[in-house]
Amino acid sequence: MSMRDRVKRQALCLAAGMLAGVAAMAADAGIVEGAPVALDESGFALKLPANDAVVYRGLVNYDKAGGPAGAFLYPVGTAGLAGLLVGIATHGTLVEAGKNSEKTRLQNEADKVLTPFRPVLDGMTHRILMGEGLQRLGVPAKARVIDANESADGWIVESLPVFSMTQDRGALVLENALLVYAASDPSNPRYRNVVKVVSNLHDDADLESHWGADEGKRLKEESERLFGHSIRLLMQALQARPSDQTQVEKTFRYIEGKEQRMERAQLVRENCGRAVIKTLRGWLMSVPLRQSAPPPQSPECSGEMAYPA
Amino acid sequence: MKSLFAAVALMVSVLLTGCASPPQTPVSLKSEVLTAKTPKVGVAMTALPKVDTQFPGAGCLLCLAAASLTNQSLTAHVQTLKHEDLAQLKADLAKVMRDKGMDATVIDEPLDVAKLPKFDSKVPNFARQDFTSLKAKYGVDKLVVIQITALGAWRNYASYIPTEDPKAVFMGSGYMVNLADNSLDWYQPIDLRKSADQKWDEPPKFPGLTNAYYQVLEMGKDAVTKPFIQ
Repeated sequence: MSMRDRVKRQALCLAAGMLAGVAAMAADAGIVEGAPVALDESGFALKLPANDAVVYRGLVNYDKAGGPAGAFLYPVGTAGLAGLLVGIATHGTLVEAGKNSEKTRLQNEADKVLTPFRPVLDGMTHRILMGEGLQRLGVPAKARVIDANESADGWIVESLPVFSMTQDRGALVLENALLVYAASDPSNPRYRNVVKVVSNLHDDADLESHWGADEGKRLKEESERLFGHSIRLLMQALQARPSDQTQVEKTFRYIEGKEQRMERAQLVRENCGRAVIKTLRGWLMSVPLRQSAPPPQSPECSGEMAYPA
Repeated sequence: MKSLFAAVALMVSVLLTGCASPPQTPVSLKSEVLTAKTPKVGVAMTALPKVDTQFPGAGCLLCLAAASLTNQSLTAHVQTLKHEDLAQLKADLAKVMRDKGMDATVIDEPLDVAKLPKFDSKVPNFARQDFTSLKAKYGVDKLVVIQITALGAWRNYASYIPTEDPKAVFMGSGYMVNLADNSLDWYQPIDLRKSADQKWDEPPKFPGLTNAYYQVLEMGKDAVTKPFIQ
């Protein structure tokens, strides 16, 4: 394994671990406490993660993961109950190791979908992604990117984006773990959540060429759009006032690549053939809705606004 | 010596397989069934099962007790999950069939298949219970049965040890019986299992697994209606 592969793998582990950690912390978060914050008016500093390599992986399906059911005979021998307990503990360790190894294998298999784009993705840094993403957000004057160890005044936004590509290469999915706090009070987060964005369908006949053309221009641009959209959703969530009305939970159907997916959630808003929903974990999700007709092609739904505010 | 072992193995396998009737294999819905000239079709459902957990493979009493104890909070949560609009599935399917031009009617009462007499047939693709008496009872020529047998979350075990993370399940079958001769015009076994997105062990509300449960409900409904839409 080359040094670059090792660094990539470490970045992936770090990002996955951080995402899991933030997701766990965000399980009951997502609600702004106190007065709403208007980041577009006040401005903010977007802090770069310590590792500059952006994580891309293949979208994995664990539905078939796991071993079969069945009886297991424990070799007790003459050791009695102690032998049985040792046998069960050993069995448990082996099964757990097998489960972890299977999940790693499935992820490695899923990651192969990105193989043709690795040269492009290896050059994708958080600095480029976040800088360009903010440009696409349309509030560049009020927001700036700062280094991981740089200090700033006002509101600080920490972001850890992880991108996945569907196995049919029809969509990119961003999971962006976000943390917002005042620079003067970093130990007291104002907002902490994961914002997930599923891209619109890319339906080109040759998706490898589609994403890879012009040194991965579309892949980079779509990543920047999704990132910018996730920051916009964060800003809207921070500005929202808590509502007394109980939102109805329902199962939303949406498309992820060419596949139909479902998510149990509450509707936040819907326009341009997309919905913003709040999941059972409290995450914000922006998804292209399932529909037989293409999304409206009105000016407010095309170009950069394909991911509307 | 080898041929003796082979003969014994063959005898044992013949004895074992001879005792069990083979599972019904899927029967595709024929396009002619979907034409407007088909006779009157009833759409019935069996009673919905309780939403619950199961731990296949935790075979011994102590294993099952250990699995139940380990997954106590999961079971308590899964038992609070709703069927939602699943009971409306027969009405939804009847509407799909009517949209296709079929003369479909909903059978309001839950169908208790186990109470029907057994139907022995050496010919494949016949229902295992005798549905023919329902022709006069419901005034229909064919009966579509939606039989959901398990809903909730299952976790495979090898005795005391879980071999997988819990998964949301929707199990059952959908089939159409020709009430003139008890033959099957359609048979679709349904065995859907959906894992939680990312982690599953999030008590007390288990949002990942709860999401998977509602996903599998939708997938189950699609599995029943899709053959009639195409």
